[in-house]
Amino acid sequence: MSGLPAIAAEGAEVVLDGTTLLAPTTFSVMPGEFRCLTGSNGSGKTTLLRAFLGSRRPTGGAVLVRGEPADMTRPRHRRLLASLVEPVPVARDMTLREQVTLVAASWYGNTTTAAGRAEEIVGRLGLTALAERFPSQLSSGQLQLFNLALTLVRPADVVLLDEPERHLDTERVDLVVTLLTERARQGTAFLVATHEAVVVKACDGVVELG
Amino acid sequence: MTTDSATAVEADPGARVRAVRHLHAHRGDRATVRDRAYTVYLTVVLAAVYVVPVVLLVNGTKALVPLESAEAVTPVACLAAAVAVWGAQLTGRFWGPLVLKPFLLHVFMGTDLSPTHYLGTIARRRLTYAGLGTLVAVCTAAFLLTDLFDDPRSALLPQGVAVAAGIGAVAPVAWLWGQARTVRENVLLALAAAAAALVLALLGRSAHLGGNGPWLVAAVLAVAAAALGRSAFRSVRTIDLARLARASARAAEAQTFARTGTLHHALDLYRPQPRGLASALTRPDGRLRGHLAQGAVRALRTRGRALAAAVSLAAGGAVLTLGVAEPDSGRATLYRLAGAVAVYAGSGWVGEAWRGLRDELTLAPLYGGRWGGLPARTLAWPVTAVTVAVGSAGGVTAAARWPLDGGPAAAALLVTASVALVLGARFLREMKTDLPVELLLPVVTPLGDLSALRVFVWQFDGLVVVLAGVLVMNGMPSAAVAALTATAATVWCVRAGLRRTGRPLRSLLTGPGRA
Repeated sequence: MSGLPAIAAEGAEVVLDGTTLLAPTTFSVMPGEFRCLTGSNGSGKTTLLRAFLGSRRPTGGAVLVRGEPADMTRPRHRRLLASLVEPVPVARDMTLREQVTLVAASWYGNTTTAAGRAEEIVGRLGLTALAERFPSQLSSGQLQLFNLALTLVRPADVVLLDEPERHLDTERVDLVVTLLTERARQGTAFLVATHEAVVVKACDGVVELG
Repeated sequence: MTTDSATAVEADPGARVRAVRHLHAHRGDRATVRDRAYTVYLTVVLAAVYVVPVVLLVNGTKALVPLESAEAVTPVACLAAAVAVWGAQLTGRFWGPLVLKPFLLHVFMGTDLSPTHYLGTIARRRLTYAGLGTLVAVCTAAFLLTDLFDDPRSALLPQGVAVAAGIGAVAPVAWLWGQARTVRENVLLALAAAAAALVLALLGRSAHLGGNGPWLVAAVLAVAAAALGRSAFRSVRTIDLARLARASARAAEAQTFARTGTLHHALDLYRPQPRGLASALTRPDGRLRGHLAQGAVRALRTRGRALAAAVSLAAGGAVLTLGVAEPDSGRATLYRLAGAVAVYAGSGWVGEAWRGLRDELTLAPLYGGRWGGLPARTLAWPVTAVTVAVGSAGGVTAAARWPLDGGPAAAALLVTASVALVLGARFLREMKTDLPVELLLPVVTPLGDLSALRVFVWQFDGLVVVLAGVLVMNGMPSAAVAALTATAATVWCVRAGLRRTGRPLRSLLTGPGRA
């Protein structure tokens, strides 16, 4: 593990039309670290995640991914970073398994590796019984698990998640937390915006905004 | 799993793109060969029933734009090419060739693949189709409007085809340029196109080029297409993916609306987002400004659209007045139609007031009774803006053409009646909500079921009313009768528009809360 943080905010600040969306914030997340982002509504959690994602440019300071400014146009940035921050535009005419496999195939090609990775993540998130269903046949909680499967099926050095516990019951939250902790142990850095105590309890550290 | 550990099992970029395309192409409700064949069959049948008679009819009449020499062809070709480039750029800003299915784009965007890998092929294919479509459209327009293709032995025929091919080559790359390049670069290209068109048109009209003006235009278009295409394809690598994702999501939603028969909802998605003047609706003491000022401020929050409205209304007013002022001119009808359509377009771009009126008439009452009521609150701005802009432009045009044939009173009456008709048509169009189910019932005629034609007319009803109304007015024996006809059509539009909202006529005067 190198000494370079996976992601780092150095006085990152976002001000829009005189309104402060994110007050100056400084912290870093090392590879394999599972860090939570907490704070009241409007404190800038999603804004900060978007800044790391590259879809919102900080007006002050810097946000770095592996030591380089976050920039979605750079292939290396897109390679390192996976996220569930913006709504995922799912395909209404493809089953869960097909869609998760499609994301895996975008990395591993049309191979058994892609199919295996997809099957694994679908199983880990308890979606095997629903794998032949279409998105319209899922509940809100199942859709959230499906979105997590789409995000986690790909390899990533950094994963950004905005309230992954949304619509999930306690059992499913535990399932997700276990998976995230396990992936973190394998070297992936996580930054998770959350209001859920179970997630906060499981993480390695908390960044409190606001 | 980190990206380092995935490197060993990762496929090469080409294989990854092919894998995604293959899996996506084999999804559940993809179009089958039979589906595509049915679409082709329907297109052929509709073209045979509706388009061929029009082509034959127009072909038998005198050409609207006679082009008897190369000197006459060159300026028209330049104008057509410039308009094609501008139109393609504008289309590209809203719906470009790189738009993908949102999910597919999301999958590719989540990878480290260069956009060239997954957008390049689809862009080339779409540009090829667009080029062929443009070529067919330009040739059809030339066939319908000019006499360029009337004589197969004419020396102008190959020149005309070469120019059409040139436009068919340059328009698609301008479409890609419009999407992939910045606003500033697009403005520069539009200005360059205008300058080149002007220079070529002037050269073509002079005797310097002999009869080779159209050949020069075609050559310039070919060179421009090659240079622009190279540059536009290079920018695919650095395309703004976040913007492309938004455009793709919007296009997918609009496509759903368009396919389910509510094109107006699809167009609503492309309305610009308001910006600026955030505190201009209230006076320093906190009170709201008047209805007119409110309308103007809200219009100025979308400056591009307000500018388009101003230009469209002024140009429309001038052209409409020109058509009315010279009733005996061969192009009077064309001027009146073009002017009325431009005013119709501008009347919709002056602001959100029409939609505000529709919402007030169709949703639960929100506002209390105030001075002037519903019409003052919602219609004051659009009606005033349209009237003032058209009146000013018309006045200037009339002064330049003074004395007017048929007298100033008749001209003023006809312009006023036309504007009233346009406003009525706009009201009718804007009060549209969902597609009425009864429109799907079959309309059995000796020509077959015309329900599709009825649905098509419903989509563009405002425009149809404007075109039909102006043509009918044009056929009336006097200005007074034409004005009466326009008034009757306007009243019909208002009644029909109100019927769409489920409100009686008096609700426009008394407000929905007391209707």
